[in-house]
Amino acid sequence: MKGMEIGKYIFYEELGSGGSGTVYRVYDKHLKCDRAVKKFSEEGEIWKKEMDMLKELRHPLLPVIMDTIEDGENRYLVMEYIEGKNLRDYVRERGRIGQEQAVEWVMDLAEALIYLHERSSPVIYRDMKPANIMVDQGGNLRLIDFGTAWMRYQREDKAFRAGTYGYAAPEQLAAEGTEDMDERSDIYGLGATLYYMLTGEDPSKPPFLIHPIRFFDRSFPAGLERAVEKATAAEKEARYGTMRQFQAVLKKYKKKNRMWERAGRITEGLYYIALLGICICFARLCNEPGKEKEILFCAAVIIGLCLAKTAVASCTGRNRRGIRRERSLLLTEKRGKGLMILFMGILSMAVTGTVQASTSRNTEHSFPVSINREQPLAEEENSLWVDVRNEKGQKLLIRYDAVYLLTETLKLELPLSNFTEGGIYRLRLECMDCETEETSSRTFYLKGLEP
Amino acid sequence: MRFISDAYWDRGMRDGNQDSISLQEVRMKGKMVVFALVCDGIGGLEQGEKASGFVAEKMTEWFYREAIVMLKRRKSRKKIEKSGLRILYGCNREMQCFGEENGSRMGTTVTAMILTGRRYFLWHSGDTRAYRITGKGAGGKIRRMTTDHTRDNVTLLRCIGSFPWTAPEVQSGYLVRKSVFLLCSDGFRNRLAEERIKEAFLPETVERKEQIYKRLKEMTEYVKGHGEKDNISAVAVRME
Repeated sequence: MKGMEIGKYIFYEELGSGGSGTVYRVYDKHLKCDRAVKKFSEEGEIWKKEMDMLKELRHPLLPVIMDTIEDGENRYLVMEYIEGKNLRDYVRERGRIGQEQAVEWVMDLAEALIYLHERSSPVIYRDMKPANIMVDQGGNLRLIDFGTAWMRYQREDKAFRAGTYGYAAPEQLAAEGTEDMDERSDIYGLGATLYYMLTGEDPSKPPFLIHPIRFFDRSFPAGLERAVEKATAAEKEARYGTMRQFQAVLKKYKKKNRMWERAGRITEGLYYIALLGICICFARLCNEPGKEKEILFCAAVIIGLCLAKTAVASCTGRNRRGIRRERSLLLTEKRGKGLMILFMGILSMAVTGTVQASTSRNTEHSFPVSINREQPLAEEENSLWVDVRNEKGQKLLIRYDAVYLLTETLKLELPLSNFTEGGIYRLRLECMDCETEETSSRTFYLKGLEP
Repeated sequence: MRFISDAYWDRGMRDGNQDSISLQEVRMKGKMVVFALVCDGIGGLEQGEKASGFVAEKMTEWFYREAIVMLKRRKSRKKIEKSGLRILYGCNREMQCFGEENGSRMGTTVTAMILTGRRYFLWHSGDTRAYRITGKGAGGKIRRMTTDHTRDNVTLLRCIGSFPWTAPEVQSGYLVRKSVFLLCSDGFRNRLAEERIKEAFLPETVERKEQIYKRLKEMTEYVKGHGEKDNISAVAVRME
């Protein structure tokens, strides 16, 4: 599209593309300024929906719609151009963001999401991720790409699965549907974005984990770690109820609060001193006769202190103290997280028909060259080894009870080790339809190599 | 104990890579803990790379969520072994359900190890292998720690996938200083004599992780040159 001219706009740079369309940087000949134009990739009402939504939104962090263009079958949305880069590239170039800046930015984003959630017709943004957040040259954030945003109570606006793995809440990607999505889905995305800013680790990349943030830097407050963990809980009931709650919690960590850290360390030190003191008392009392009651009391206090420490550690997640990740490498060609991923779901739905048909055919046909059977063979019967290969000649190294799918050519290969030198063999290949008991067969005569 | 580790992951002559590997290094109370895993997706079935990737992902997640905490709390050997088995059982179950729902079959072999300051834990199912190389020069030894769960070197008898559960092999033991552990897929070791692996990874000759990477790469090139068409993956960990 480079160099193309539509109306008063000259297209000169592709800024990026996503699921709903491609965004270009264009030049407005009349106003002599740059604009961002989104070209919608799909026909249908998506562009209209996004346009209707954006024209009603007025917030400093949300994009402003300027114009719409219809050029034949193509639909374009003209928006203001934001000079800067997206947060993902920003973190990649500069490394992770400091706590104060990250919390401040997340609070700004939370403000924008509160505006969306608390409108008369609430909007669930659904695609909160660093790539959708622009950082302008003044260090201010702007939220872009409303292609997947969803108007919650509008019946005609049917929810569909959307989001990015690692940043989308589990209910957004659930196979059952997305009816139970609400503002808590955006809280998950914002929590994951905060995690990315603080740690520089992208949860959309393998191993798709959100570790406790103090795993990376012990100077983060434990409370902030809990806030990120709560916001990104898999169960939406375990997350913050509203964006306002999340924002209120973050307010405390806008500035590094080292006081609580110090208090925690002092308490811990006092605990160990007390434990040591009681242990010394216990050891002394053990040598003195007639002090059974005191000994029992000391023992009870020691056990009590140990139990209390365990309980506090499990409640506050302090079991991970002293653990730091040094290196993480996970290499796989699998895309997305888990098994029930969107791509696989669609793919498997598409192939289910074929596979099921072939499976049913497969189970109805049996090869008497029963080399891979679970049942033990009769004692007098020797097993005949057969290699099974696919079209490309790859050995199908599968379990003995596996069903071979007839989606491509299957090659049966008889290794020479089955045959003795000079011997003559009759090989009978029989195929029976179990339902009709109709049998088709072919007999081959084979001769082993001469010695 | 200090560990040096690295991994090599190669598509080989195939179109895609159905192997998945994971290598995690964590410092716990000043000591290092290493988690290494090699999964080889079953090429004859659909979505081999998804099966191996799924198990690699789940096991890595388990390592961070459970295994580290258990090691830190000094949980018993049996509890850690069982916890690993439980997660593999969960993977098998999930793949079974997925297979039933979608009418597809998938599976992967797996060899996973955790190396702590004193001990090692190993979970193994299928025909990926783990080797231990110890000793110096001519006295160096290589020991295969796993048995191949195959019949006649062809049919896989155990794997993690959409099949009935067959319990993986579990081992644990004490670490010997100055030894190298090598986890590899069948593509890596099919055309490679154990003697050659031993020579390349004698503990005294491995001092930096760059060396590990270079040697794994060289061996990969060697097996590819000798006609290996499968995906090739290996992880090596050397302890001081």
